[in-house]
Amino acid sequence: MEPQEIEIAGLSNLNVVMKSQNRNLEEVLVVGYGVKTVRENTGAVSKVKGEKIAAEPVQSIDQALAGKTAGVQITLGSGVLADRTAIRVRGINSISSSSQPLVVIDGIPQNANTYNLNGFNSGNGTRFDPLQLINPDDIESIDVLKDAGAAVIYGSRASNGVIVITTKKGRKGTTKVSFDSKAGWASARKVPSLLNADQFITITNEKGSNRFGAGSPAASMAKTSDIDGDGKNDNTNWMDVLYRTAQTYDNSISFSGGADRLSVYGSARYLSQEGITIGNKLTTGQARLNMDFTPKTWFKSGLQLSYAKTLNQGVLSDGYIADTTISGWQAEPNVSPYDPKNPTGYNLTANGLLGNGNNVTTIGGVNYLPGASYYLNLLPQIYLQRNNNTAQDLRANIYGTITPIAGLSLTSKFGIQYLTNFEDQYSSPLVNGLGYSYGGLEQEQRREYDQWNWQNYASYDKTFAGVHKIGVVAGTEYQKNTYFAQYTGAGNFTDPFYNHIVDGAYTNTQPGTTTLLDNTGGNLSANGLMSYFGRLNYTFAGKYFIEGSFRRDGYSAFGVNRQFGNFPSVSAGWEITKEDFMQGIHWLDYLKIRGSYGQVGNSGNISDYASLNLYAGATYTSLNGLAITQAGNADLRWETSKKTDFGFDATILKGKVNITADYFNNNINGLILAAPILYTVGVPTSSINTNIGGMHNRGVELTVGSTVISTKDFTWTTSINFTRIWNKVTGLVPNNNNADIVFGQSVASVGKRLGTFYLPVWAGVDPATGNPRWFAKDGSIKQYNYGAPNSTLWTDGKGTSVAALSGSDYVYQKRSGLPTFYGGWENTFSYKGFDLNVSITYQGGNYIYNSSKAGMMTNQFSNNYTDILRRWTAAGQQTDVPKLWLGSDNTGNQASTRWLEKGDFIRFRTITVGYTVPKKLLNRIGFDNIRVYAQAFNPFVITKYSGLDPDVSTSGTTQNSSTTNGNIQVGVDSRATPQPKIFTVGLNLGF
Amino acid sequence: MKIKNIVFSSLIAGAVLPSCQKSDLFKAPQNAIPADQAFTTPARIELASVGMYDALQNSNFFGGRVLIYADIRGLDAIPSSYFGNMGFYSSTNSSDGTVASAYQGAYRTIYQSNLFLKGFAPNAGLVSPDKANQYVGEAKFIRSLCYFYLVNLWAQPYSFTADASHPGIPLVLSTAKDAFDSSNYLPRSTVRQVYDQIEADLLEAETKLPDPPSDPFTRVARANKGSARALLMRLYLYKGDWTKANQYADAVIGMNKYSLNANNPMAAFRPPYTTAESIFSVAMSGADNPNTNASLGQHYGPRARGDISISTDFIRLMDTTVDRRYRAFGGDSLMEIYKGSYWTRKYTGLTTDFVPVLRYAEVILSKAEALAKLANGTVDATAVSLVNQIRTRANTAPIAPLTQQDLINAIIKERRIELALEGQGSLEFQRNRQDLPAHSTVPLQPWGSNYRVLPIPKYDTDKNPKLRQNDGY
Repeated sequence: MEPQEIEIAGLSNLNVVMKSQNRNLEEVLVVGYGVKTVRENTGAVSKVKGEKIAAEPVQSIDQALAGKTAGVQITLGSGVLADRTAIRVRGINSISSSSQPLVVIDGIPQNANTYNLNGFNSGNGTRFDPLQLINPDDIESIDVLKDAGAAVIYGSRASNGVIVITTKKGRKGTTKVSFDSKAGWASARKVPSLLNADQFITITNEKGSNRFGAGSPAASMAKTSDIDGDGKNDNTNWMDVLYRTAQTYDNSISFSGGADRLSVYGSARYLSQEGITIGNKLTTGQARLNMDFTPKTWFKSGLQLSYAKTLNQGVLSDGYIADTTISGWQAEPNVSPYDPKNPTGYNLTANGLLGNGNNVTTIGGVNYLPGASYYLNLLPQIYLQRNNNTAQDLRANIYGTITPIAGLSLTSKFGIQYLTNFEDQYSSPLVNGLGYSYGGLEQEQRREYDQWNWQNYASYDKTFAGVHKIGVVAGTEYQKNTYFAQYTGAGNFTDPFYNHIVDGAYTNTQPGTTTLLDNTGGNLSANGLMSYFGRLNYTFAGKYFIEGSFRRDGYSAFGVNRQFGNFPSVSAGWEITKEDFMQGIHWLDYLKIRGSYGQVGNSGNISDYASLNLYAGATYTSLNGLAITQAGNADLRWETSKKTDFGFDATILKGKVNITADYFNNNINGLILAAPILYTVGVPTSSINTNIGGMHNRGVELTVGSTVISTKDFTWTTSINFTRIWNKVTGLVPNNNNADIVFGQSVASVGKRLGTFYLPVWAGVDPATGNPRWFAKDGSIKQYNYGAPNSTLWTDGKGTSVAALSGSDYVYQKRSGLPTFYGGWENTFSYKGFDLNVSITYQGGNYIYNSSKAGMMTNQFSNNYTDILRRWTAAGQQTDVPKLWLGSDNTGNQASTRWLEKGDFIRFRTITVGYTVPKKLLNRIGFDNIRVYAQAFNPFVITKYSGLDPDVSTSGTTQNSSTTNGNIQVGVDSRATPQPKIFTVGLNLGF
Repeated sequence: MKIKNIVFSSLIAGAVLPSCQKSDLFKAPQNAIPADQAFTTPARIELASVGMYDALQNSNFFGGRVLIYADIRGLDAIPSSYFGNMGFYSSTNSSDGTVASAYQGAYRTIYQSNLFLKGFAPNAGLVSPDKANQYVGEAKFIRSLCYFYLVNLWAQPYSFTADASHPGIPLVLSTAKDAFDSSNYLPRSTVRQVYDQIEADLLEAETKLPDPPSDPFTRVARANKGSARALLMRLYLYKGDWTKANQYADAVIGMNKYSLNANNPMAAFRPPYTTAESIFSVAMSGADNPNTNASLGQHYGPRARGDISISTDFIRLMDTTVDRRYRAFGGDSLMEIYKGSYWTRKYTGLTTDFVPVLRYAEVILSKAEALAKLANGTVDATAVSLVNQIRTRANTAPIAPLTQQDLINAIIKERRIELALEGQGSLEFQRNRQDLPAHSTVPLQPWGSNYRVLPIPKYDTDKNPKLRQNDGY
């Protein structure tokens, strides 16, 4: 139990309820421009302690939020280090704008446009999440502002929720040094199960003989080879070549201390983290200094300074031919990646492709490889080339608070952020691709994101007559973001030795000609924000709370007619257990009900000049010209979300159990969509971004935490959170008949959940012929007969010709890639000095479209998933894999419900065992704290999904990605790198 | 608290309490020019006029595709499914993506011209009157060129009804202030109205445009009096107004700026593409072209994309033993046989070929046709000699027709050979009231039948209730 101080004045009764440490009602939540205690909070705010974030071996803090709190769902892009992460607070809140929440660090908002710093390949070459640059050990706590009541103070940027991060501060009267060291080993938890060399030969030759006959050359096109010259037939397990056991070393030191007028927190960290894909590695150095200084009783000042630099050695993944998950997964296993006869030592043809050994891939003039650039040998592709980026983040905040009279404080805070990213891509002339075409190609891009932010606010708190407590905050905020980018490149190098831009090392011409390559360019843009905000709260008798907040935001990217917006909200709470009529109920220690309603906005990812009519350079051969490139919209503004929240916080059974529950309803309208315009109007792209769509998210959240057992030696605490969410698109573009927005197999369709799949229904394989079948819209069968003449290519399965399967047979599935429920469950046991923590995350209600599998069952000359061994071979065989048919005809593998699988899972996220050295021993050696621990991260996942990981979603990570298809195309697994399981041992020292 | 502290802190607060001007924070872009600043200086106006030609290079329209569409719908270029159902007549429907992109490309080009006129009008005083006239003339020429092709591909030909009162295409002559406003929902003007508008615009352009300049590139790549007159001549020819067609042909000839390249039908199609035979072409270069998937040279080149080969029907029109439009000479040729098919060699620059629009050979043949059709019952001798200029240049035997109809047939045939693959293939069959015989996989298409015109894209008819779809779609 914790000691309490209760103000007696004004109370007629004195009720003392002992509170367990589980719910600390005086704990402070950081809401915008101020703090509130848990007791007085009327909004929906969740708090996650910093050490929970630091305890996970993931690369960035957003990944570590998974399962930690109700209402927050995290989806990882892939197992590539520092990949983009999708953070969804209470569902997806936008279609074509960003659905990522606003991240505020020490009161300064993170630049909203930077959730992937890399720009090459349209931002989907390698990806880099800038939140990786924040040191999780520096975090004191994270407060997630989920409803309008809490978040409205951030106005036009709050619709997706706000994640408020507070870094550690020194504490008065303590001096501490803390040293943390971790070593970890990561490996892929699950890799694709591929054919080995013998199986590959059997399957490939069967593909050929099914199509061309048992005596044809195609029936023996796959043959054994011994390219690496070791005397044995090559049998390469490309998964072993591609994925490795990766090592991580993470060391950090921090010190914190406080004296009468000065408190300081400082830290430094060095991280070397390998990814499970060869060649993938992060190296990070970070340092921070936070100081708070109170020279006078009425003046407080402080400084937060941090610097981080990361070198990311990235790997291309997902849909690129040149990536690791095509050349790594599909390359034939009966050749070796090494060839001692080749000067490079790798198995390479003269064109820089993987040598096919004795395999015959071209028969009768037809090439049965998927294309002219297949396959690449992934070893030289990774080791002879580079896809790096170096990011540097310098932040400095300074603030001063004056307290002229008791209760009134005036604060001014100024923060700057200089974020730069340098991308460096080298393609070798020895490897097929750009490097081969250009005799070696080096491309570089440098981007700079600068931000300054200036806040000034006054707050006044006073209690009148002991019962009326008033708090007022009023202030202004100005912010400016500037962006610069330059890119350059050089081609046709003297020798593969040169792989950087160095004077004289290249001609930069198309090899064999004098045509100079043009690979230079740049861009710049800026935006500004000016805001006014205020908050008024009133508490009566410590049990009735009411609060009103307001923010007026003006943002330069909004259209000239709508540049300023108003965002109000009201919230209220009632601490029922303080009422007289509740005093007899002893099992209920604390109960507060609360509710809020307000309007917030989303301006994430509106490009800086989206509302303007713009002219840009338009050349006519050698003449310079100007022509319109963008027809703007002077009414372009934020997307609006009206949020309602009702909830309660309760503590029961003498403080043993804490319950928090919420019901929320977010009605979003004015979604920015490209409204189509008549062709005859002639504007570029025949569309204009307009605020026009609508969507809602409704749900319930429940969090239950309990100290189940608490004795002298043994304690067991548990906490479970659960969120159930309903999403529906309510409006798209009326003048286009509310037509669906389609990306791949996913749609945004009115009346349905976002990300609903739109596919034809798979009807299995005909046991008589092995041909694939689907259901037509009317329920009849459409069967595709491999090798049949044009007139009977498509039949009804009984020989009658039918029309081919087409878009008209597609059906909206009652399934979407969006999960309907998710959460986490954490248990901590401690016995004497030992502790055991088991954290589980779970998610369900969504389906996953296994696009990887669709591609890996190809009929072309390629390796396949071992599922293909179940292929149909004889009449009467019941199976789910159609007969093989060599060539580019993959009609059987076309998009359909065949690839749609349930995505529910329970994941054991971390299992940690630790031992803390007892105090007596510590005192003798002069240490405050010594703890050693071992942790298994992601050791197993319980799921029916057959792919590598049910939490891998390439939403927003496919080749032609944009934020729009990132929000619609949820739940598509397209060859993402598998997620790792990581085993870590660590040591904390404190003194 | 002490007074001094209050004063002190208020001073600090006052100094610090802020203001930031909106102008500091809300800055204009530096990576693009806001539309209201594109016409503020004479230099910018010149740049904006060049921007119209860049829009004319639209890869779905005058970057070369519209010529291809007119030709694969004829008999000489074999249609390819790469262009959707554009060449396949009865298979086309209103959802066809290629048709929609072409329609969209045309109006995108027209929009740029209208936008120029709108932006230029209040700033016309910044430039000299001659320049002002030139710019307006160029805008109207470009716009007319687009409307000419729109009305001839998406509507039945002029003579389909007695007074051309059948549906044409929407005439957009200004830019919308509000793109969503219902005033944008224009109905289709009649073919007569479209022709009248084109005529009015070109007559105005003719007076305002300068004479052809001496610099060959500017003479060919930008509009001038010669190009306006030549297009007017074509307009009148298509309209059936032989007198005016002849008059404007004479106007072009009389300028003495254009001539046939002696003995060499190929020279106009070889770099620098600016011989005296070319009147107007859409220019291209290595750095500025529609690229692999939309350049004439890529589509027609057998060693490039190789989408379009030439029909034997066309070859049979020529005397292949002597005609220099078929045979090789001087190490080059205008046609070749490759892997068993016939291919044109008009566009060997692959991506750098200029897109030919108006050529002096057309002027000669148009004058011949006009004269022939005016000389009722007789064989006009001037017409014969004009045709023979073309024939002799091509090293093939001169014609000696005996009747007026023989002469007309000979002219039509010569036009088909000479102007092959320059964007008039199917349009010739339209204006001459001829059925299109069955060819390739396409069945007979009688003159005036529904599929002879392209469908208005469903994207527009779905939204615009005033837009009437072509019959049969």
